[in-house]
Amino acid sequence: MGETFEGQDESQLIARCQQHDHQAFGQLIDCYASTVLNVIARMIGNQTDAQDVTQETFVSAFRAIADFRADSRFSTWLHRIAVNKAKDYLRAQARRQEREGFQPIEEEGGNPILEVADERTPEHGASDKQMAYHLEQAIQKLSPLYREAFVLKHVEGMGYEEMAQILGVGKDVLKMRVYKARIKLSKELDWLKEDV
Amino acid sequence: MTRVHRPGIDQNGDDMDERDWLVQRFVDHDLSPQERIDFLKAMDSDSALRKQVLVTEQLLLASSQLPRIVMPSGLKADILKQLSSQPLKWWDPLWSVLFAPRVLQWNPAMAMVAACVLLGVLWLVKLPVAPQGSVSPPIPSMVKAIPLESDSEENPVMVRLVLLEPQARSVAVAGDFNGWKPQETPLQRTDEGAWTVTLQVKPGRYHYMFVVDGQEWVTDPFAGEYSSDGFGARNAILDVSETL
Repeated sequence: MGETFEGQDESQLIARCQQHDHQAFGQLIDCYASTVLNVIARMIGNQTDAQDVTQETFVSAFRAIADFRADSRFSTWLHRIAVNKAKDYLRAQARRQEREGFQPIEEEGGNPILEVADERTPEHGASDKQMAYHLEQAIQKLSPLYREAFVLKHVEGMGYEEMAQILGVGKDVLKMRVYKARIKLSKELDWLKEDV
Repeated sequence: MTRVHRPGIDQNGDDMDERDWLVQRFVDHDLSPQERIDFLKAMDSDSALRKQVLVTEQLLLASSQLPRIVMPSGLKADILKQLSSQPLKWWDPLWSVLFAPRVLQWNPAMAMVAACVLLGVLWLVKLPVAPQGSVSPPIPSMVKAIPLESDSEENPVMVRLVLLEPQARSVAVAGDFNGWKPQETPLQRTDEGAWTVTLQVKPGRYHYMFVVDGQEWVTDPFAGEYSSDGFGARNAILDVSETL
């Protein structure tokens, strides 16, 4: 129970939320919305839609908060809802594309994670901005299962234990997904070797 | 280099070779002390291996430093507004109390007391514990794909899908038979809390999922077959020909 909110610890805030206190829930939103938005945006690869999915996540969390038990951390519980919402979005998108034919996100009016930094392929090294741009692109090319594992581990800095609780998958499986994601990203960003 | 495949861990057709495996474990500080010394020796004499480790470390550093997406200022207000516009129904707290998962703690003494109380109640009301001469059939919690009528293999078959979801406010089904459009095939609620729909489909195999309350995709828990949907969940498969 690490977080403290204006003199109240997280468990007190959650208890107030369980009594349908919107103001208390607002404080939890302040604390966690940024992380949840970042996880969802990188899982689905679209900032605009990520805001909608984040909104859905918090609305669902508030409605289900009576079921929250202290046997897991609140952030873990909330991230589990967020990841499931992101997966629902990806499933719906995949089915829509299957039905209507593939359309790149840009053509649908979406907003990719990062604006184009510099389209030139660097011949010798890359600036931080270019690196971030190409890395974001490469992350989006990973399969959804590898992507979620890599994002939670290396972008959000979570441990395998917490990831296992969020994703409902064993630690060994997650470790393999992270390893394979790294190998794929290394190959995708092969030109980095010029910089080493 | 030997290809390493670790059965039962993750099967996505992406093997990694022994060198990749060692590099990843080295980066994760997952090697034993002896493995680590052997790896460092190998790295000392192998510039390609050294470069591979450096690239991986650089990748991880860049990932941890990716720019954070800033939360829009109106997002919190939008969430709270949505909560206010859809106030809780009077029965929502009741549902929460009744259907929230709970951990039941027990010990043998409590179990014996509970058994005695139950037997006492049964004796008082004189309920037959095991009626002789008749055995009630088990009530299926899920009835799926019941062919109602079929003239021939070429003609459409009527099948019924049922999902027991008493807490749901709405249930629909999306699948190959309706172009994955859940809005086209809502299920109707019965008094017992089951949701049913009767479909007219041609014999064949159909992938499908239920959609609960317009947003939660639920796999039919009692489907005869499943297939991965590529996102870690499973589509149920309805094989109409097999039900005939």
